[in-house]
Amino acid sequence: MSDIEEERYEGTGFAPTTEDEEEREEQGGTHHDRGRKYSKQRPRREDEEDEDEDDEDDDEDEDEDDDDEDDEDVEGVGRGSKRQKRRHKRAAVNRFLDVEAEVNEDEDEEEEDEEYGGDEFIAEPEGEGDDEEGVRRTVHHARLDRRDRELNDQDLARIAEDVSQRYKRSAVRYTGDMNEVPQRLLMPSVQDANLWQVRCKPGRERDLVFSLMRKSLDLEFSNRPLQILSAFERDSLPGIIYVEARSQKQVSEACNGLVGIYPSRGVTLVPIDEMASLLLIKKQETTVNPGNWVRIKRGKYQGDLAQVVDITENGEEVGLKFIPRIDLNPKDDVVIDGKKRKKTGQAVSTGVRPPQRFFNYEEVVKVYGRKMVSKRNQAYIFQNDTYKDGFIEKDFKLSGIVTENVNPTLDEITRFARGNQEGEGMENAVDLSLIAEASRKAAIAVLQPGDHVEVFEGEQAGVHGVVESIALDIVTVNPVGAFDLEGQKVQVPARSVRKRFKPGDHVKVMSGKNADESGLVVSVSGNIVTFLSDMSMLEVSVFSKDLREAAEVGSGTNIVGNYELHDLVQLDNQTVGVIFKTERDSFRVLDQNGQVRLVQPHQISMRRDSNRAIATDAEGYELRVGDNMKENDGEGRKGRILHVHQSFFAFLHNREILENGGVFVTRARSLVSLAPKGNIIRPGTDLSKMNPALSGGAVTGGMVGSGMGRGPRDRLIGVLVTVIKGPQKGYIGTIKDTNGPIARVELNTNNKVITIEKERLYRRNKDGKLEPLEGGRDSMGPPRGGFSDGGFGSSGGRTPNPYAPSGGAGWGGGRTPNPYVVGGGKTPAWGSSKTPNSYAEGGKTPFHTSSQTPNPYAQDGGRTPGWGSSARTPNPYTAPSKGAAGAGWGGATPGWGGATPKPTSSSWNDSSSAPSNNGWASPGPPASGGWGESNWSAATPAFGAPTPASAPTPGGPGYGSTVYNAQTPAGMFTNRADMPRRLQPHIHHMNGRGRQHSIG
Amino acid sequence: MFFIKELTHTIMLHPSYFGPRMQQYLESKLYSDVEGTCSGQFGFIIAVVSISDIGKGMVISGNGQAEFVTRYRAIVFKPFKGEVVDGVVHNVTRMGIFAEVGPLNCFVSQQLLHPDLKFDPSSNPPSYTSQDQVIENNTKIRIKIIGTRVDATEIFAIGTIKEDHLGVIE
Repeated sequence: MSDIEEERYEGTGFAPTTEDEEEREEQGGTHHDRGRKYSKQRPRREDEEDEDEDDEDDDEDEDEDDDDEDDEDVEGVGRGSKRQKRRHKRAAVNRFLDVEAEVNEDEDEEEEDEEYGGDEFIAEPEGEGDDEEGVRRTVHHARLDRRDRELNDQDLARIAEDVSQRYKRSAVRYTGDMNEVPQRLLMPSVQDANLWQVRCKPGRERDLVFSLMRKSLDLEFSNRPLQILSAFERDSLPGIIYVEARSQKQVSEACNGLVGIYPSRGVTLVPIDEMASLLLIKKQETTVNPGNWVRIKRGKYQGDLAQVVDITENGEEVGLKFIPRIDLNPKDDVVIDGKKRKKTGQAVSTGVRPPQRFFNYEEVVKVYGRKMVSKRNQAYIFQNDTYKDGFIEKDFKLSGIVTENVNPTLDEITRFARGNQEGEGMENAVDLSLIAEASRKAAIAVLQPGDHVEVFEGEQAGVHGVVESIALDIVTVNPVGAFDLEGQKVQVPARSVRKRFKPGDHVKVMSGKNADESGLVVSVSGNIVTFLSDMSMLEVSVFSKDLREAAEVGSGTNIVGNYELHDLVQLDNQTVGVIFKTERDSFRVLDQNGQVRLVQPHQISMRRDSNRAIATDAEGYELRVGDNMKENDGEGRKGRILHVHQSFFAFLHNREILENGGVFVTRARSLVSLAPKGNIIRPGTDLSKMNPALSGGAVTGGMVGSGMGRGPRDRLIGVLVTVIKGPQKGYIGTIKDTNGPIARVELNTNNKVITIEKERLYRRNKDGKLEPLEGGRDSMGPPRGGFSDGGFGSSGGRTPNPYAPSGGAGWGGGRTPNPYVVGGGKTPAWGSSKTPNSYAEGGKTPFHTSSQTPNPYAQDGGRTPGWGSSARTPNPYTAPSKGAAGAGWGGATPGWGGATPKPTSSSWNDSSSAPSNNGWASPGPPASGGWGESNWSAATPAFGAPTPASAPTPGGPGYGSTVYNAQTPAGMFTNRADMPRRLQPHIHHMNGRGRQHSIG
Repeated sequence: MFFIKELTHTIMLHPSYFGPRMQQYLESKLYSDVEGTCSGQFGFIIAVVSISDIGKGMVISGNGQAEFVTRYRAIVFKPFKGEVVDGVVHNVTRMGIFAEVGPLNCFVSQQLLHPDLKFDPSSNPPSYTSQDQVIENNTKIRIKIIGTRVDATEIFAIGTIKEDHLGVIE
């Protein structure tokens, strides 16, 4: 490589060819490289000496003699020519005169010329440029004579002195006759010419250097030859050329008139100690090998990926193979003219470059005509380029390609692969390792202490261990498993290690297309690791450099923005979908119609929550998110419900289904539960919540007896009122809260809540009539929310009141037959709650009781699971009201008179009936006795009470007991149901071993 | 590998359950809570063998619930790298085989199958076949676990049958 570089350098830089050199070549023509190199240095030294120290001229001459003698063939002639050059340069300087501080500018020289012009020793012609030949000849002869004379005339002492002086100097200065010159002796010194840095247009450095060379050649024999000694550029320093000259002025003169040089930006002197480093050729090894990926630096194919096919011997040029960009739509005149090369060149320069496309003979012929393309062997020749297998094959200068940081993308590589397959001569399918190789440098960056690595090349190949530290490119590895190296630390270059994974490792991808994916390694071959993704359950192959061992599951991959895998998202007004795959910054979404969409986060309007959504399955049972279901038609797919949409669509997930990440959408109606049927009605096993079995009884009992809390909510709340006094007079509002004589009213007009005395308010009836707030209570209509609120309020605060939906039916049922409307209230329902109040006649205790009497009712209804299912199951409640009740009921009704609802409630929960009995004790003591007895006796097994099993019980003489017997089997602990099925056998077994549960 | 392990479980009991049958509630709650679950640390809890201590209920101030720290002994199943287990194939894909080892899902990549076993996409159900062996759904195979992924609530394993004495069990 160094050779290449040197040659390149020499091509770039130049020493203005002195006649010395030229003539030598003319005459001898046999200089070998070294000779040339030296000669390049010599002229400037000579000049320097001549000009600075003329007293040493003789020595110099001697030196030159030596030099010349080295170059065996030149001898006297060469010397003559040298002299001549000197003459040429400095015209007629008398060699025997000491001229101190001579300045090598033309004026000076001319002055000198004049000064010494009349010197009689040397006959110097005045106009040397005019009569070149004559000058040369005279000088030649003169020198020869002089030299002879010198040699003869000098006395021995002088000679000895000369010799000693010569050798003394040669110790520090150049000596030509050593085969190897120590580098340090060649270092520039203060005496040498300086190096000047000149700014120029980037990219034109080389041209400028050549221009300088041409210029110097042109002006060589003119009046004002360039006085610069050499010029060069470095590829690594764009926009700068270096010129060697004695003064800045010379440089400026040389650069004057050259386009692209910016003398205005200054000509700066390069410090002496930096001169050498500028010329230092960095030894770099050839990194380009056939098969490597490179990029093209400039031209039409700038930036294109190319593969190295071959390399010329000197390493200067490489044959590249890449995808051509042939303009298949050239301008019309192009084809007609047939001068397409020029034209296409223009087309290219306009900036629109044709897309990459494999060479296709037919296409090209169609556009450019048959004669433009010729075939040679396997390849086509078109526009002086060779096309083979669709690729263009072209030689590039090494400097014209990028070999570092090529980073070919997988797309580019696959394009190449495709081309390779298309072409018949398929050399090698894509060798992924080549890419890895190319980007191996980057791999250093991804190494971290703690990584498990393996040395795969070099002395330590095969050793594997844990990275202990990384210092630049050196990795310290703590070997594992190598006996002889145990405990030692091995230092290896980072490029010769690679991360090591073994099957079973849990890894995470750090970069690349699959970044953030994690999985378990299934196989490792070379530096390609295949792992099974945790999320998609698919196999993914990546370079080991992109992997890290990871403990966590790649959760990062599931969240993009605010959305997560398996979220139900709203895409537009009509469409929702479930995310089944997250990519770098987008999702794949399966919408309700089964379409897959690629969606960006911003296209999602919102995330939907379907946790509470309920739908019914094929058998009419409820299905919820999380249930394991199976399709009963179509493909019979199984899966776990992820989301339910509008009670109609169900999104299910099953890992075993490969398409759409295991997510599929189906109609809820076509699903059947996979779990055993007992699972469907899930009794409340949550022991941290209220015991459903106890709740009714316990709470009711407690409340009746103790009057727990502050009693029911004020029935006035929610009542529509009109303000009849005060500044707000005439305003209509709703009572939000009451506190003694004061109410807080939310005005309808401006949504403001005012605090106002109750007496200023009048109730506003439906028909718009006003009546006093307190007095009109009897006539409160059932449709008002106030009713249910008031009636059920006490429990409403604590537990969600599921009663509301079914309440209408329940109450309706209760209401209709209710004949005991004592208070004359219009609505039986209100009557019932109001009734006791009227009994109480202002007594506070009864009021409580009375208002609570219906409460147990409400609570029963609310809490009892039986209520939830009442929508589906025959409602025992309504049954009596419709007159469908059994004999028992029929019997009860007359006996109870208005008490119909109560037995009903007692059928739900015996204990609740107890207080109500109490409450009713006064109005109907005769009836209560019998009921009370049976109810109480039945109370003990009340655990099962809440289950709907009680539903079918109406009627029957052994009312209480039968009911409870029937209820018990539905016991609340069907706890096995939600266990995974595969464990069921175990459990059965265990059960068999005698765990006695409430399972009857 | 199966272990009998002493574990604890915390149960919150609503005051409405306080009473004579409390113990029974707690027990059944424990069974339902714990059996069939998987903890990354201990593995799959197959069954509760015995309850060593149902715990003293500590009433939590503020909500009246009682907290029972129940200690029990359970059979746990935890897969280990290198362990050889028997499983039943339940899914065969081009990528490999999914097998159930009791509660554990185990994947055997096709690269970790014997090279002779080739995926036969035309067969129904899909299968891997060689001259003398067929692996399809419900085939019993012996697997060596080579890697596990242990989450907080799930364990997943990959295995190989590319070694001696592994593969289809007759």
